[in-house]
Amino acid sequence: MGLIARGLERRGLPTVVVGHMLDIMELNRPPRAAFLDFPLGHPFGRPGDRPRQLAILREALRLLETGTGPGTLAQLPFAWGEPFTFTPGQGPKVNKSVSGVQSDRE
Amino acid sequence: MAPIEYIPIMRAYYQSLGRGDYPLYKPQDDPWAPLVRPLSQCRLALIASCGISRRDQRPFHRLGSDDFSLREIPVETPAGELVVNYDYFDHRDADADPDILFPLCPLHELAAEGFVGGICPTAYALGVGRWRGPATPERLQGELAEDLFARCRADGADAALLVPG
Repeated sequence: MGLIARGLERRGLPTVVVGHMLDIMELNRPPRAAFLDFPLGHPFGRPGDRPRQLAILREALRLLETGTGPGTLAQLPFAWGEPFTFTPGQGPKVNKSVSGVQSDRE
Repeated sequence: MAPIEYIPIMRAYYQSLGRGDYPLYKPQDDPWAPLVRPLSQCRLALIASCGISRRDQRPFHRLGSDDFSLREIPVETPAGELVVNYDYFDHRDADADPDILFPLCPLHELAAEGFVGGICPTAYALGVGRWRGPATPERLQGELAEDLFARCRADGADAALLVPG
């Protein structure tokens, strides 16, 4: 997404990227990026938690106004609240043995 | 707890599958487009690369690569009409509530309360998947960005929110 953001900004459209992969975001340098230390697939938090979804979205969009220049990267002030891990290639259809949504966040 | 370092994990994963090096891209320039009016007056576009589509559209490949196609998602689409096609990450929570990944309802709420000026009538979903070709990073910034830029401009967008998978 960071590279598409760069292509859009080069043509004149301001962007903000929301993402979880801090090291890759630091490498790709999207013009404005909001980092959330959440499990992949959850950029706006947990299902059903609309107040938090809105709060994250507001904070991310504010970067459009407050971003100070290329490579603006802000960690948003939200915590996942429990440890989680990442295992590549672990989608629900690939890994049918995963029995609960908690199992890859232990 | 320090954030997960994804690059070493992905490098090891690619090696374990015999795919060679995990493709990384280090840009050499710093594009920047300033916001020209307050956010409360901006019309916002949503672009998401999480491999989501409507049930009546051709799905993205669950483990696609170098897919430069897009799906037009009208922003009035009900959550029940959306499906995450990807199998690159665990999306069971997003299956239960697509707004955690493709925030149509939250965007409508922010437009209604005036936090943003409005939202474009069409959102764009991508499922680029794994980078396979050596030209993929340039094609993302080139032809795909050009197409999205033209669509966003035609939709009257002042800015775009980009969400990954």
